Amino acid sequence: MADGFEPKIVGFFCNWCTSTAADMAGTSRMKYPPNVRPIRVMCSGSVDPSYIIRALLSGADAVMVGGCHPGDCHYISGNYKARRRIAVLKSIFDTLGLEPERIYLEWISASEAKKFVETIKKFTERVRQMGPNKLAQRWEF
Amino acid sequence: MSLTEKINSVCRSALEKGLVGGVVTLRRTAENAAVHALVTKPDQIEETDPLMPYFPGNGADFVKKLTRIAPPRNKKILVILRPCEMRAAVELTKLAQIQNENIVWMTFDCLGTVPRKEFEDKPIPGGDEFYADLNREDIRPLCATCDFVRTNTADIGFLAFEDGAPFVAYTETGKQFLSELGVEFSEKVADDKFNQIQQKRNQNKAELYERLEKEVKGIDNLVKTFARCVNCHNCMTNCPICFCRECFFESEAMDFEGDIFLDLAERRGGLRAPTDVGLFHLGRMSHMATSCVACGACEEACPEGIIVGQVFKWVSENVQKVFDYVAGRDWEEEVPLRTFREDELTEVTGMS
Ligand code: SF4
Ligand code: SF4
Ligand code: SF4
Ligand code: FES
Repeated sequence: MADGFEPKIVGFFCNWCTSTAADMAGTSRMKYPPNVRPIRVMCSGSVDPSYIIRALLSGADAVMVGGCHPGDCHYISGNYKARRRIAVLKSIFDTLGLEPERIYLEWISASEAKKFVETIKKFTERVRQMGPNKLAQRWEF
Repeated sequence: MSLTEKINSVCRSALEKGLVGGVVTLRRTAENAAVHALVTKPDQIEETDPLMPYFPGNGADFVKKLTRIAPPRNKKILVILRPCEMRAAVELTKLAQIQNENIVWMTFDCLGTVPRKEFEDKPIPGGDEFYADLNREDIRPLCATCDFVRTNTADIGFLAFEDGAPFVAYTETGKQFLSELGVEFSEKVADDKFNQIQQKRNQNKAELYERLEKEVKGIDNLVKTFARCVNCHNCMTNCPICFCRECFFESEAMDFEGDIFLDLAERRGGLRAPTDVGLFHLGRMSHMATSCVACGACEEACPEGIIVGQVFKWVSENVQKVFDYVAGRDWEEEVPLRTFREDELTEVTGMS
């Protein structure tokens, strides 16, 4: 890919798990790529797919949603609902040939700072390989 | 007896005998126009014809209007809908937008409808004239590729394609209704002609999807497909499934400070007005593709001739497959976005 391409990734992270893991990674000075722009949400179930679409249309190269592991959602089923919504969104992107791989859902609990760091590293590398998101470059759409 | 007259005489006598207080069906407003209407007097049936090839919108929307605050309590309503409208009615009931009480549902074998704009300067033919040629091809693209030219979710079906065009009763309500009127009905659902016509439609659909793969898939194609979109939201307003009181895409969430718009324009190579065309279409899909019944009300309403209904049908079919769901197929299956299972979709998490 183009030299020096640094992907921009928008992260919708649940307050009760992934956001906490991110904070912990930060306070324990674990190093991870600065490509993620985190947005704290109260639950992965509060992320409407249109937020993800908007990010991808507005310049993000990828979107990551981080939620509590199955069974651990503070609102009982928000993460299961998020999973269905993201399955819908990925299917739409797949049919329309819009690179569903740029949408990424992961379960990361509050104590999994290490998993958070590893995940961010891997995903950033993945998106770097994919190159810039073309959807964000089309003013006509 | 003619096909239209066969249904109309049921309507008339149901009204005369007081079995129902009203009938919902297509009624002419002019020679070249019709709307869904609630009629309450037998002599108004003269102007109605459920089989005419005209689609003023999805009739399920009207049933939603009639029942949302409260369903009729004193009298029943006979509602006559095309299969795609009937399926929308099933979806809307499951989505708690229609209160399915005191309604007798009737549907019929549907030969499709002709694009409304064809009737700008000529009269709409009656059902019998239209059904005289079962092989006709002058129908809307969504009709030519229809998955359900017949559906069995109503109380009563009218098998307009088959010899003798019999009524069938799919439910106890339907049986009782027809019996009380002394209308003959068949216990057996004939399907010879139905199978032929459905097969042809399925074939057309396969061809359509092949074309969409080539002409709509991919960002360049998608941009072209929606190039003329004026973001009027007619497609959403006319969609029976888009029932939100305030559409997210018409909310203040679409408004930003000038600096942010400048910034967006900077990043995207400019900013289109009206803004958020892509967000609207993709976002709308993400909200309602699980329940799209492929009626094409959206496409009929588009002032720019965008094939929005064909695109939504294609995308939605794949979305529904993820959940083994077919919108409006039956009354029991749960609407995908209203439920979940703990042990499913594990492939959705992780990097794929
Ligand atoms: S697009 Fe979404 S928010 Fe708008 S009416 Fe349809 S379902 Fe509701
Ligand atoms: S999106 Fe179009 S085809 Fe699908 S239900 Fe709505 S109006 Fe009908
Ligand atoms: S009706 Fe047509 S022009 Fe209007 S928003 Fe829908 S696709 Fe765009
Ligand atoms: S509270 Fe974390 S996903 Fe619901």
